[in-house]
Amino acid sequence: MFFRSNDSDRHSGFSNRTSATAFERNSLLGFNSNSKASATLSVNLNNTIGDTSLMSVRSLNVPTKMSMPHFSSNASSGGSIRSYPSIRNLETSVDKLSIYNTTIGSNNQVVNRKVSNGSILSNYISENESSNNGQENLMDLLAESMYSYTPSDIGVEGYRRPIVSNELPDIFNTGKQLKQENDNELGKQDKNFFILSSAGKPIFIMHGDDKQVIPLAGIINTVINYFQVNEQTNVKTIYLRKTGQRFVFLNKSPIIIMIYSRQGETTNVLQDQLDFLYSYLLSTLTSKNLAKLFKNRSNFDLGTFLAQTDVENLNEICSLLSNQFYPDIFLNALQSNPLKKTIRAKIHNQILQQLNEDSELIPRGTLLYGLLLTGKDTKMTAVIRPRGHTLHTSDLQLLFCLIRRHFRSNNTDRELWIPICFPKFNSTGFLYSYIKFLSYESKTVLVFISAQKDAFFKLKLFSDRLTTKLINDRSISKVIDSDREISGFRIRDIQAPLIHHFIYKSKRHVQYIMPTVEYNVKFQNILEDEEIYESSHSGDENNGNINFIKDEKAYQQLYQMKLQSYYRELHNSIMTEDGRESLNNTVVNFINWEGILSNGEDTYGENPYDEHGSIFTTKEKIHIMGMVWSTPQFELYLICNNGVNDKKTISSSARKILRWCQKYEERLFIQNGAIF
Amino acid sequence: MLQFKLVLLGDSSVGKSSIVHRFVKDTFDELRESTIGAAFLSQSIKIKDPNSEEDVVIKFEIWDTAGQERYKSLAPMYYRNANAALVVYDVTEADSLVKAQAWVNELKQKVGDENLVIHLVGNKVDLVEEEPSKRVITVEEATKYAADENLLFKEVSAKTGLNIKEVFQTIGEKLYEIKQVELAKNPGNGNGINGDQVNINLPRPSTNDSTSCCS
Repeated sequence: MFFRSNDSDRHSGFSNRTSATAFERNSLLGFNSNSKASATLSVNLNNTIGDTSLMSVRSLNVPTKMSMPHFSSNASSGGSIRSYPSIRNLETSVDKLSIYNTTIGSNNQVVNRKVSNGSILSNYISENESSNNGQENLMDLLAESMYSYTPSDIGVEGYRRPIVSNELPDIFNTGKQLKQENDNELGKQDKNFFILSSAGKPIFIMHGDDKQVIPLAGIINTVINYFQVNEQTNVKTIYLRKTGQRFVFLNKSPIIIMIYSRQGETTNVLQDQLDFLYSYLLSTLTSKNLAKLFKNRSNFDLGTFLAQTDVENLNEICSLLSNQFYPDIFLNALQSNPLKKTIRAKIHNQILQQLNEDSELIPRGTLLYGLLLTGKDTKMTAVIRPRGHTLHTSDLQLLFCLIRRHFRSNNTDRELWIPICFPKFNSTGFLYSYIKFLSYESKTVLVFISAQKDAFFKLKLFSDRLTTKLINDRSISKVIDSDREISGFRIRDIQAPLIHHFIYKSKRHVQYIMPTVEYNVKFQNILEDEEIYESSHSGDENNGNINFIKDEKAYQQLYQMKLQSYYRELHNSIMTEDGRESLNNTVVNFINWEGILSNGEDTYGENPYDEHGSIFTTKEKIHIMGMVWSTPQFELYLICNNGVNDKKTISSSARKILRWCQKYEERLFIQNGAIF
Repeated sequence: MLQFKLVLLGDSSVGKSSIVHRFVKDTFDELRESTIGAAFLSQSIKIKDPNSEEDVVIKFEIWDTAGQERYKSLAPMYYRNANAALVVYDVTEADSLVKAQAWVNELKQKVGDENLVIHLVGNKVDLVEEEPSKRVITVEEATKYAADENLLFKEVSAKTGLNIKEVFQTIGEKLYEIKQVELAKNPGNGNGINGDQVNINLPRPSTNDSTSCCS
């Protein structure tokens, strides 16, 4: 293992967490609660076969988001429902798996709790067949739906668009969230981030302005001071059961950070996010400078001291944590770039060889760490590290965030020299990162980290020579210098029927992999039909929405958020009550999201996504199943295609994915990297 | 080919990166992320030898620094061996000229090289053309300051490209002129100049020359 993660921290540090539900008055912090009622849902045990004594089943108040008139009959957010069946036998057969069923729906909705085991797939296909031209070979349709064929890229790579869409329904109200995202008014968002000084001065707020925050800051401060009798009784969270609003605090005097969320994360996940935000502040300032700034002036205004860059970075990080698909943080792992074993070995060898040749230029101690990253999600292709040294995943995640920000502009012919503090490595001092973009198209980045602030030209020279070498090797240059983003694999590469998407984390490597996230481009169909589109949206007030719809990026983001929501609930389901992950147990959970999505006429213009972003027509029944399988060796999260509810098939697909991941382990994960 | 080091200094968001981007790529990004730390780029231009009328290629190695106060302590690393400094202010921001003047003073104190070419530029004149009332720093004021301090001066716009090429051209010619004088004084001293013998594709671009930062 050459990365460290928070897993170990978590098991030592958080034993004293107090979950305070002290404030039931939701108006306390000025947020408008949309919820008038909370539906009590119970865990369905109909399908629980086998030993149920291991399960702790609770009846939970599930927060539902109400009073969204245009969406009132839709399935809305279900809270996290968890049970903790711990099955110690890894080779559990499907019959013994504990299955629990989360039914999601609003109060007025007839909630379907029945889990059907029938061949829903064939019905699904024939239904859809009639709406499309029915000449297609039924076998083709079946195969496509079973293997989650990518519906995109028609004509580009020659893939056929499947008749059966594999789009994920938006049961978490993500479209609305996204729309609110553009609304800067405090209290309208599902999630917000506040950074204050202990003296109550606002430092950063994601949505809203200082004027709105100042009265809030006082309240937050009071809460912190009132409950903070000592470290042991430090209140870390306030949870409003009725509304599903959660406030989580981090008090690192002179800095206080609070996250407000209605998205349903566990306290623990939010604490990791708080820690990440705090780490960012340290990474830009160092703990030493931070202490110095506040030493004689407890009312120091850090907000004005922070530069535009910091605000941009904090916004980027908050956006990653709230409305993008960013599994790195909740998984405490880094994503690796799957690559043929021989090619990866070649890259590592070339690096070591060049280091050897340049031993005078780069004497020991100059280079601390090196990385070759690929893709806009900064997947790791190669790692250069000294023997016995590790970097913490969250330190690298901070660096990756800075790098991602630079992908926006194609201004990549410059080399960067960035002072950055890695708080988990050494929070008192800066390290320096040399960053070179090798290819804008494939988003390949070479990173060298040094402790010497004047090492730039040495590292630049080393990088120039190394790059020449790498690019001269055709098999390597194909990977790093390609003219488009080709890295990664797709869900269809694995013979795992009915699986929409999955994440596999290898705990030993502290790395994870997942199929390339390809959002469904079904909406292009709609946009092609420009006439209908324009005529139905001629109203003035809808113009903003139209632009938003046409924005492909917004669609991509919506899809990512949907994935994020499903994975969040899956992840929550394996957390124990006090927010810990069960490290030593094997847990298999199924989550069954059921509901009826309806898109009535009255919703027109209110929520563009649900009308046009999804293929689900009025009163579409949705049935999404997800599975999480956690063992001491790995975590596997998967989301099935809509309508799939045969646990046997899902389990067999899960095992196929597992076998595939284990078979190609050396390809999928960086084993050791180039060690010097 | 001649190589010169050039550093851009100035308050944050006066448009340093945009000026470099216009110079190197001849494009403009309306929404540009602010620079963290510093960015290194290079770009070559051609100038005419005033005597022989022959083309001379000049390669600029450019440090585009972050304007923020916090990175100020790193600045000496970037200007230490510079041959030229482009000090940028924003014609619509009064404070940015004050910051620019502070940079000029710092350069004059800390950089020993009396041949350091300092070029002052007032950026964002495109805004003033659209809306003359936005101007808070007059051409006269800046011209006078530049003359007093013996600086080169021009108003530019990274957005429209106005005067950007000219500024670098002027700096190039000035540096070439200085180099010729130096060469005439000490013919033996190559100091970064190897006439036309340097092949830019050699893998050792800068560390062997004595003006390099890490020598």
